[in-house]
Amino acid sequence: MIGYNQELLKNLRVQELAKEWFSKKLITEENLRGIMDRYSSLPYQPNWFVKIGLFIFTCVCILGGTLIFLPFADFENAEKFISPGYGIILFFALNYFIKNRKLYFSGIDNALLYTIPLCFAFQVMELGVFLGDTPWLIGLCYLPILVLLVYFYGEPLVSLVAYLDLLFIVAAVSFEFSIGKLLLPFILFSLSILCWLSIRHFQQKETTGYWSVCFTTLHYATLCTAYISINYGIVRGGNMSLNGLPSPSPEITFSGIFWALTFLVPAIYLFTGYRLRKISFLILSGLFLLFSFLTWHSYYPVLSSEWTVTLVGTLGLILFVLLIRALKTPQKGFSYTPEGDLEVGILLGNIIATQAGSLGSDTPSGPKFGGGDFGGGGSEATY
Amino acid sequence: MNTDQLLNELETNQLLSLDQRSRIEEYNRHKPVSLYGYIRVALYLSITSIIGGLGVLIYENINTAGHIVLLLVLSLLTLGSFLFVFRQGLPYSSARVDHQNPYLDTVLLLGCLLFLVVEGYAQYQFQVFGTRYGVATLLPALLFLFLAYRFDHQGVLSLGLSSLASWIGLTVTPNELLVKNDFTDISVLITALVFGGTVTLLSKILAIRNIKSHFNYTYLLIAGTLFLAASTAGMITFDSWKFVFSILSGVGCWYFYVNARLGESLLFLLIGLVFGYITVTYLLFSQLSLEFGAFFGSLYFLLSAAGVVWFLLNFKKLLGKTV
Repeated sequence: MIGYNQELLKNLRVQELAKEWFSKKLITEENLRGIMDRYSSLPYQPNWFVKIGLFIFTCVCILGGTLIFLPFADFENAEKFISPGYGIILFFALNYFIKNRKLYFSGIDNALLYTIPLCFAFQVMELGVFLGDTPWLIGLCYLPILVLLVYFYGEPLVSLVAYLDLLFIVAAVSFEFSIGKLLLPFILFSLSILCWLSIRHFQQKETTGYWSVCFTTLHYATLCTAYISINYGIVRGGNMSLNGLPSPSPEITFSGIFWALTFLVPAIYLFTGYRLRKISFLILSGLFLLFSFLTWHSYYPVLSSEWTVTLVGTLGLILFVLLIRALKTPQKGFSYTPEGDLEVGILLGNIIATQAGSLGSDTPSGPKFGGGDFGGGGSEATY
Repeated sequence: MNTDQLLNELETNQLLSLDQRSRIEEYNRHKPVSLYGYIRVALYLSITSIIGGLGVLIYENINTAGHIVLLLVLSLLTLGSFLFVFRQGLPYSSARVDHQNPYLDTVLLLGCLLFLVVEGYAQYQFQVFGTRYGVATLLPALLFLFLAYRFDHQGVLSLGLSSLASWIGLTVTPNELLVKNDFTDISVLITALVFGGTVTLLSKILAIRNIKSHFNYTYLLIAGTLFLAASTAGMITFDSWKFVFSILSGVGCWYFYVNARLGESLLFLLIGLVFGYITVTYLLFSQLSLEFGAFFGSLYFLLSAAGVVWFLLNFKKLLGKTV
C-alpha cells in the first residue's frame, strides 16, 4: 500500500533523464519528443515558491478545520478521541488528494503528512507513560508510526524525524547505564555509520527507487550525526550539559581520540568525495573541516577571532579561485560548468550581498559617530 | 527502477537506438560533477567572512593601527578589484551581459564591499565627509548602482538599493526589514512607501525602455517588498488610516500579481498572496466583535485557506500562463 503512484514517479524520472540527454546532445529532438509523449503523465510538483504557499495555507486550513470538532469539545475525555479522529480524517484527505490531484511533495501532502503523527502525540505519550514512563519508551512508541509513514510515502522530513527518533531511543537507553554514558559518542557514531551503510545497501537495490528522496536525506543526516557525535567541542559541551556540570566544561575522557576523529572524519569524507565523485561528501567535508578548525580555535586560539575569520575567509577565497582556474577544463571527473540562470541562485546572491553589505558598514557595538548635520536624506549617526 | 532498467525499457520500446544507449552509458560513466554552485556559495561566504573580520579588526584596532598604511592597503585592494573588472569586463549593453571571466562577479562584489569598509574607515579616522553623513551613504549607493548597470550584477544592484535605502534612513536587509525599520513612526512609514513606490515605478520605466529589463526582479523584490511591508504595518498601526493603507497594500499585491503573470517569478505570486491575505484578514477581523470573531475565525481560516490552496493549484489555468 504505497502512497504515491509509482508509474507517475517513473515517468518523472524518465523525462528528467531525457532532458539531460538531449541537452548533452546524446539523443535527437525526435527521440526526446517520443519519450515525452510515451511518458507524459506526471505527478503535480509545483515551483518552490508555490510549494511554500501551498504548505503555509494548507497548515492554516488544517488549523481552521479543527472547527468541526467544536461541538464535541465539552464531552468527557474529548481530548482522547478528537485529536486521533482528526488525524484519521487528515489521513484519508491525504490519500484522496494524492490519488485525485496526483500530488507528489507539493506542499499540501507535506503539510498533511506532518500533521498526522502530531494528532496521535497525546495517545503515544499516554501509552509510553503506561508502559514505563521513560523517555526512550515514548520514543519507541512513536517509531512505528513514523516508519509506517516513511514506508507509505517516502517523505524526507518524516524519514529524518524517524531517524532522529531512533538515535534518541538508543541515546536514552545508553544513558541508563554508566558505561553507556561513557561510550555514548561512540555508540551514536557507530549507529550513524551502520544506518549509512544500510541506506547505501537499500539504494543499490532495483526496487527501492520510490524512496530515493528520503534515502538522499538520510544519507546527509547519517553523515552529519556521525560527525556531530564525535566532534570534540560538541562531546565536551554535551558532557557538561547532560551531567549538569558547571561551566567551563571540564576535560573529557578519550580527548585525544575525539580530537583525532574531529579532523579525521571530515578528511575521510573529503577523500571519499574525491574518489567517488560525490558532491554530497565534498559539501559536508568542507563544512565539517571548517567546523573542526573553529572547534580547535575555540579551545586553543592562536589568533583573535577577528583575525581568524579574516584569514579563513582570505584562504577560502584563494583556494576557490585556484580551484576555478584548475577546473577551467574538467579534471578528474569534476568541472566548473555554469548551471542555468536559476532564480534561486539570483535570490541567494541578492540576500548574501545585502547581508555582507550590512556587515561592511556595521560596527559591533553601537554607533561610533555622532552629532553634526545629516548632509541629506534621513541618515543619522548610525553609519 | 534504476537507469539500466530504464534504458532497457526505452530501447525495447524503440525510443532509443543501440548506439544512443551506448553513448548514454558512456556519458553516465564519465560525466563530470559540476562544482559550480558549491564554489560560488563558498566564494560569497569567504567574501562575507573577510569583510566581517576586517570590519571588526578595524573597529577594534582603530586607535593603534597605522591608519594611513592600513587605509592605503585597503584602498589599493579596492582599486585593484575595480581595475580588474574594468579591464576584464565586457562593454556595457542594455541587454543581459554574460561575462566570460568566471571571477568577475566575485571580484566586483569584493571591490564594492571593500569600498564600504574603506569609506567607513576614512570617515571615522579622517572625517572625510565631515558631518555630512548623508553623503557617506549616497556616494556608495550611486557608485554601486552605476557598477551594477555597467557590469550587469544583480548582487551589486541589491547593495546599491540597500545603500540608497540607508541614505533615507531605512533598512532592506531581509532579516532586519521588520525589526530595524520603526514602522510605528509615521515619517518612517511614509518614507518607506514613497521610496518603495518610486523605485518600483522607476524600474518599470527602465524595463519598458529595455534598459536591463531583467533587473526588474531585484527592484521589485527589494523595493516592492518594502512597500508592502510598510503599507501592511501602517494598516495595523494606524487604525484611523487603515483603509488607506489597505488600499495601498492592495495596489502593491496587484502589482506583484501582474509581474508574476508576466513570467517574472512565482515568488512574486507568493509575496502578493501572503500580504494580500494578511490585509484582507486583518480588515475583516478588525470589524468583527470578539465573540463573533472567535467562531467566525475558524470557519474563515478553513474556507479562505482552502480557497488560496485551490487558487495555487489552478493558477496556471486561471492566469493562462506557463510560469
